[in-house]
Amino acid sequence: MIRVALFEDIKEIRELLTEAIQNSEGLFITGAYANANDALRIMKRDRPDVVLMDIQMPGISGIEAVRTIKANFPEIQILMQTVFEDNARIFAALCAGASGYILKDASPERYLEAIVEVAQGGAPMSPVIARKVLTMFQGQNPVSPKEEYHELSQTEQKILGHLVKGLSYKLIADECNISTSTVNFHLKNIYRKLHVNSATEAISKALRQKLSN
Amino acid sequence: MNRIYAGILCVWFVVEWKARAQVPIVLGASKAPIAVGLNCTVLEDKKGTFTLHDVQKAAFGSITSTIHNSGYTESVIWLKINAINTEKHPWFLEIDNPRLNDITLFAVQNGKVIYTQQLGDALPFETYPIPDRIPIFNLPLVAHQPYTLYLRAVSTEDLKFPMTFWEEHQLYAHLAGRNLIWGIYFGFILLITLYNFFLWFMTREAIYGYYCLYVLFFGAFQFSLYGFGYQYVWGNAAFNDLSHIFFLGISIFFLAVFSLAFLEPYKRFPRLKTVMKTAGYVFVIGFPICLIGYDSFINVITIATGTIMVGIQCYCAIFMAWYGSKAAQLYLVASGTLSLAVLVVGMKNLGWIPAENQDYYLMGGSMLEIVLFSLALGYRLRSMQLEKLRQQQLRDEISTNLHDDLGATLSSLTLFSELNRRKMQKQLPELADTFGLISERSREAMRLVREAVWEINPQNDTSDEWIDRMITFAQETLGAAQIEVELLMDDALRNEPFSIERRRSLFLFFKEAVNNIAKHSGATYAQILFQQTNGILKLVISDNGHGFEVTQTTEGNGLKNFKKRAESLGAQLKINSNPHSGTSIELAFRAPAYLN
Repeated sequence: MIRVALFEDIKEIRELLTEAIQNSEGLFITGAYANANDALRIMKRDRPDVVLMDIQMPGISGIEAVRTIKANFPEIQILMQTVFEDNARIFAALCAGASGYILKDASPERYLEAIVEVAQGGAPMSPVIARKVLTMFQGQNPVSPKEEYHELSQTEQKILGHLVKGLSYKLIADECNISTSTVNFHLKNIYRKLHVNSATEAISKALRQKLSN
Repeated sequence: MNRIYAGILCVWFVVEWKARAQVPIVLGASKAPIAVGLNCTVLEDKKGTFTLHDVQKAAFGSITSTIHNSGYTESVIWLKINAINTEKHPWFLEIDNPRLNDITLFAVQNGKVIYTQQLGDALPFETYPIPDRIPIFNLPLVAHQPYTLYLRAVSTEDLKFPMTFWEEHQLYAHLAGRNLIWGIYFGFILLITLYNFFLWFMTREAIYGYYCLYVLFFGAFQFSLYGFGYQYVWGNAAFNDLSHIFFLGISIFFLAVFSLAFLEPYKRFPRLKTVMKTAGYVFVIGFPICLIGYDSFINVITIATGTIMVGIQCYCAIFMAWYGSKAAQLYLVASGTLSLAVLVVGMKNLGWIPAENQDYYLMGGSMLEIVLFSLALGYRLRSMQLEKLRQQQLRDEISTNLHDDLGATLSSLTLFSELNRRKMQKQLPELADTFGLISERSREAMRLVREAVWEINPQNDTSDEWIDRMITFAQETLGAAQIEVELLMDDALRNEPFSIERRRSLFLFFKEAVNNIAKHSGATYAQILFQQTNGILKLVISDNGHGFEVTQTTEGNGLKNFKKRAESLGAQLKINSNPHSGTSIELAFRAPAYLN
């Protein structure tokens, strides 16, 4: 049973999504909230596996909330809801701690699918995002000291490369002679390393600057 | 009492004696030039009837400033200089005023006229023994003899007499040096004129045209005022006398037009429009009249009119500068330099300060003014650019906000509709279908908004993410239609120098092809290939659907669009389709890197 916490400021959508999640098998909604001001307390109380967070909300910004949650509860997976595929902002959200994003006008089926993907460790990256992640790992940020910086393994780099080209899980699995669940596993690690590296002071500062520009 | 009278008489005699017997100028050992200065006396001949004989007996008056200036008058002016040559080499007398119409020199010794020469711009230039625009008399004075030199001058222009005695060598050096300086000045004028002409030609902004013409005619004014026109262009034609008025008038006209364009004072001074219109009519009527009926008093009228026009401009500029108009402030600084130069020249004319080198002051002042005006024009251009940029940024902001709001609303609408569709699926399937239609439409609208947002963002003009857009679109559209897609996109193509229009064209072509597959092909698998081999770029979109009759649907809109786009991209289009192997659409063209 995957426990889901929902943050969505529009009342009708919040209610309908709650209902949809509640009615699907394998998912359980712990609570639905209009803003993320009290996120930490809610996490402590609800103990969800997955958090559905809106990027644009009144009060604390979605990305800030993600950072706070991930800093205190690293095991919680976060799925960002966004209106536009603003790659810069999405990448910032991923670096802040999200493990995937979904467009707000996606079908409810896609929503539920994404929640499950994220619960398993990370949603497949779009080619643009994959490329940004790859460049970031390829030493674009030499500010952080070596010990705290987690490098990508050869396989992980290859998988990211395929994601950049737009290959699906199945095709990547064929290319690398591994199963799709192994691809999933590698992706989970990629996300984890991304989050860990991003948590270091220097990188998040640089990202915050980029976001504010 | 008698003693007082005697005293007064004595003083009067001394003064008179001093006036009659001026200290003779010694043209001596030193080869340095000798300025006549105060060492001459003047007599005004109001009716112009005096002969040399009359004048020799008449009483001359002393001059009051360092250079005698009779101003603008119809009278004839006589000057008397006493000189004695102590050297063997010849001397020259230079009268630095090329505007004297007729100046005659009489060299008198012991009451007899030894030598006479006539110069002046009423005569053809060829008669000048020394080929310079300035009247220069050569003086064959025998050594150690006292001479009295009489000069008779008449002119419709200013009767100024800056006179200097020159030794031959020094004179030639002086003339060469002076011509060099004037050459530089006129070169400068031509340069600025040409430069502004080209600016006008390229930008078609009238203000550069006005400035170009103002500088050109002001340069022409100087050219004619200092005798260059007489020497090099039109000789002693009737035009010569009024050429300076002609050019000055036109120059002031263009200065006024330029100032109006630069300051744009009509907003602050609405009545100025009528003033300027009246001035325009006065100019159009009065100017030709002045030229036709030209005489010395026309000079005074011109100076007065010029002063009024400049005064109006300065008044407006000062007012606007006071209220913080940066353009007006720059204008004042620029025009101020010329006004200052004119002021200095005026003071020299009046004798308040030493009167030498008047022309250099005017020259320097006008050059400085022209340079400063150029700077002011540059500033104006920059602030107009910044204003345009600011307005564009404002528009972009409005557009971005609009799209954000639109996007948020449409997304919520879609999600709401979709959630309801899912909810109604079991109990009310028709209602669910309706919701499905609604969300399909709103999703389509959302896609258009997303694309617009991406295209509006100027950062995306040169972005290499355009291939990613194609990939994402293919994945989403075909994924939604349950069609498996294989993408073989060459990553290096990202950096191909496609122009914005071509990228857009290619993207729209791609969209249509993929949409066709998703909606009409009935395929289960599709492949998209975008690669470059040997300078040929190939985009191949194929599927395993039931195909279509290529010949049948050629007349339909769909294929026509493909053909049109392929043409605009300069690419070759190949379409193969049959029920067994599906459809394949191929676009082949030369990579932009190989195109000119």
